[in-house]
Amino acid sequence: MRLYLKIKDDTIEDVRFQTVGCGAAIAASSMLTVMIKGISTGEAEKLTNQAVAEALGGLPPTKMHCSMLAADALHNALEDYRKRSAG
Amino acid sequence: MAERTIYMDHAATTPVHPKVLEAMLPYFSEKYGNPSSIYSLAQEASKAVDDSRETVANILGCRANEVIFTSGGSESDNTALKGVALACRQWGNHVITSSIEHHAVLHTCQYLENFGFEITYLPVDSYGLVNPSEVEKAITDRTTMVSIMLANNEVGTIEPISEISKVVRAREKRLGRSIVFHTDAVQGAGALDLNVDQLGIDLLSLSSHKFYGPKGVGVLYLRRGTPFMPQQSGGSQERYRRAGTENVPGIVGTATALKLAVEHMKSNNAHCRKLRDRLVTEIPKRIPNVRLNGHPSLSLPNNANFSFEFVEGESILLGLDLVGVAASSGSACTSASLEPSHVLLAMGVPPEIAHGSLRLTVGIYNSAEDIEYVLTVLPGIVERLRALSPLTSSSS
Repeated sequence: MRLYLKIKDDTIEDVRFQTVGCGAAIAASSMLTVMIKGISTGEAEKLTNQAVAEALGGLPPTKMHCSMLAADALHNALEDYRKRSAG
Repeated sequence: MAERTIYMDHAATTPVHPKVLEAMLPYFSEKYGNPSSIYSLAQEASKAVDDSRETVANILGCRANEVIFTSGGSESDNTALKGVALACRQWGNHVITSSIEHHAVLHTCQYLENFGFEITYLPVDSYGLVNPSEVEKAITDRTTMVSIMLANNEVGTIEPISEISKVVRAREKRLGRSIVFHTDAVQGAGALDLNVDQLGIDLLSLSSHKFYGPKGVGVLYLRRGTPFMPQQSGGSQERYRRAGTENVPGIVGTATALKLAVEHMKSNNAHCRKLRDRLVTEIPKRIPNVRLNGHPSLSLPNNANFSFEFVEGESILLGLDLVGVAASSGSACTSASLEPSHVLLAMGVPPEIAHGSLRLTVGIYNSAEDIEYVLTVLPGIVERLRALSPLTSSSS
């Protein structure tokens, strides 16, 4: 799962995803992009995998880890952004 | 959602043939007697079970009393392995099987390891073939049983059972005692010859719902004289080898289905092979970066297993389902264990490639139109997933 964030003035102007995975993984990453476009990095930081799963209308127990993947991808991306802007 | 299902998952299960259903129906509410009871109503049911047993025995080329009816392929496999390994314990504790068996065999072998059994899981080549000389090399003076499947459910590879049998019999002579040979023939029924002497086996498992019979019933062939400990205790059914009131409608259905399957084997195989071959020829033409899994010729006539690079199998299945096509995959995401297909991995297929696998298994009710439809819809599904995938090379 790859997440690309376009950030200006601490706002997520645009976001794209690339995912190789099952339907739930693709859906989770896609839903994530819908949820974070246009919000601040601060708000995005608070997003949980539960929120993604809920937005999808719930996920079967065996597919919950797909929502974790999406949340982790987001947090990794924001972490990456912070490192780059600091350095 | 599409209106009609184009069913391409016959290795998973098959619809019950109308003649099979017709044969079964009287035994639900009319001739419903318990075959163990004395009165006429029950004796009708008992006769139906006897006749079914004869039918199956004729097909397998064995005696009627060597046929045991079970609740399906999994029970047959469990009973075969546990029943024989435990009975032969005094002679040894070593069982040889292959790394591509169905979980009903593999997990039963793993279960036996808890009781001091040592299991050799033989490797296979890149086509999924077991090498008879590997079986030979693995036999020790502690070996009591060998279990190798007749044909693999995922990639269709047909195993050299007769050759393996020769090797086992030769070693038996040198050992001065028997080594019991079981084959899981669940996927081979209806496509391959099941004569137990030709195959050279002592036990054989069948599952009715794989050959247009009902679910919940199967067969275990047990050669007379084979050491065996019954695994389901209770009444005297199946000559004390497998207790439980007989599933009369299921048993009647099994015999009817097997008879039909064997009678039409040649034409069914030709029909399936033609459809399967069209898939195998056309899909690589229409979709790049695809490989075929399995043996080009030593394969079940209805099985086509592909791996599509850069995408994952379950998402292909969902895409197919949205347009009315039912298929399956060896991808990790489709298994409850989240492990990719052990069969593909054993064949040396890299995990990422196993991840993108699609299994299409055709059946007697599929038509040329069904195949053309699949050929029309599949490229778009794979393309769309590849566009979403971070693995697709941008240099194409």
